[in-house]
Amino acid sequence: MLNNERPSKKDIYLNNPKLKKVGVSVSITEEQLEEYVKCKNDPIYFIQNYVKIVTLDRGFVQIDLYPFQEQTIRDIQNNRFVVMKAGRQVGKTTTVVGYIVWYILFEEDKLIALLANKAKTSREILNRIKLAYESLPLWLQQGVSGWNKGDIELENKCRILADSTASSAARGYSINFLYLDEFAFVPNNVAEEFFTSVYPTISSGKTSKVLISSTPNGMNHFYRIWKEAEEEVNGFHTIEANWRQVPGRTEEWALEQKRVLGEQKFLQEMECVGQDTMITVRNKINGNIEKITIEELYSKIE
Amino acid sequence: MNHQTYHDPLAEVFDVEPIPVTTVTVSESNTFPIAEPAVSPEADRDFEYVRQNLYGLIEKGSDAVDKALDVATESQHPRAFEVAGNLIKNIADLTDKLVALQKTKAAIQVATGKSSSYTEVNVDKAVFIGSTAELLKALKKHDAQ
Repeated sequence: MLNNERPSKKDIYLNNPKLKKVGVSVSITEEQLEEYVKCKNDPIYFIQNYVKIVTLDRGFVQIDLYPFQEQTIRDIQNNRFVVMKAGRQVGKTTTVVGYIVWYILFEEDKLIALLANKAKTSREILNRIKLAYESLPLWLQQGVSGWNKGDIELENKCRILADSTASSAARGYSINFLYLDEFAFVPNNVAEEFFTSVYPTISSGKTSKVLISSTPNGMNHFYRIWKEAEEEVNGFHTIEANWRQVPGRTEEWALEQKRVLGEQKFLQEMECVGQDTMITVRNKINGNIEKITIEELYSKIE
Repeated sequence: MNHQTYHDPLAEVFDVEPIPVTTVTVSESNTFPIAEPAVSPEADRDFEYVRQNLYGLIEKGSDAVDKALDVATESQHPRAFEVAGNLIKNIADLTDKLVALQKTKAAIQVATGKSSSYTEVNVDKAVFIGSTAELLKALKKHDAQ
């Protein structure tokens, strides 16, 4: 029987006192059971109360979800296909980390694939998931049967794989939850090959989920997916998040960023403005107010 | 608590009422067990003695090393450096022994079953006993019904 405060050596996974072994019995009290059911039924409640992350300013702290992050979790929960266009440092990965920790705890027999433009990026996300998992109370954790750099496996047969979005990555697996991070930064040809080889195996399932998130990066495959999602062609649900949705970021902060990044980069990285976004400009020569796309504007400037 | 009057020869001599003597009867159920020491008192004493000895030896050895190094520096004799080197090694071994002593004590405690490894769990208030995976399965089954 596991002691939650001071687990004995036989109950922990590979000498890590923060992880529980497979098959270890826990004694659950009525309050804990209520809490467990609450967490199981509500990912937002679970994340707000149990998931911890490392922040730049405050160290390892409990997640305090912003309203847009709560909405994002609801959207991921209620939609099978989600595409998220988000600015830098708005907390998109944090949101996804929280949701994945919930998903692996309260689902069974699921395979989650974390794929990013580089293997290192996806492993970084897996690291964050591992860190959050280790901070959970032992009675809430599932037993651990594998805890590696590129993959983890739990007692409820939930697995997470972290790899790059290379064409062969995740081929041959039956993926239940595919998370593609920074997808706009995957080279076009790799993305095409990836979709050809992996996508059919995901979309054929009835419950499998796909979540694509990225900061815009020109008119590429991510742009196409986003555009088709907006036109309700490909069945993806869209989520957009920019710096304004992060509490504490003011116009002064934006001005500072603009000074550092430059106007164009700021629009892309922070405002999530793509080349096709319509903007209103005044023609200096004839004084006319015109509506043109950013792409047209830059071509005129150049 | 009982009040009993005992036969008091002094009371008879001075012709006074004997003072009642209060006695307290301790029943078995009111006694409190005295915590047994984790290891036997002899082992504890030995442990403390060895620990003090090692401390003393390490401190004296450190002084000796300083002096041996002084001699070696002054004489520039290879043999003197060799002696200082051996002394340093011996001190390092002693510090290792000091750490190993803690491990030995812990091993004795585990072997005698008196270690406080915090494995006791209060299950009085438990509504479920089993693995978390089993709990999840049970809840899913319950939800499905």
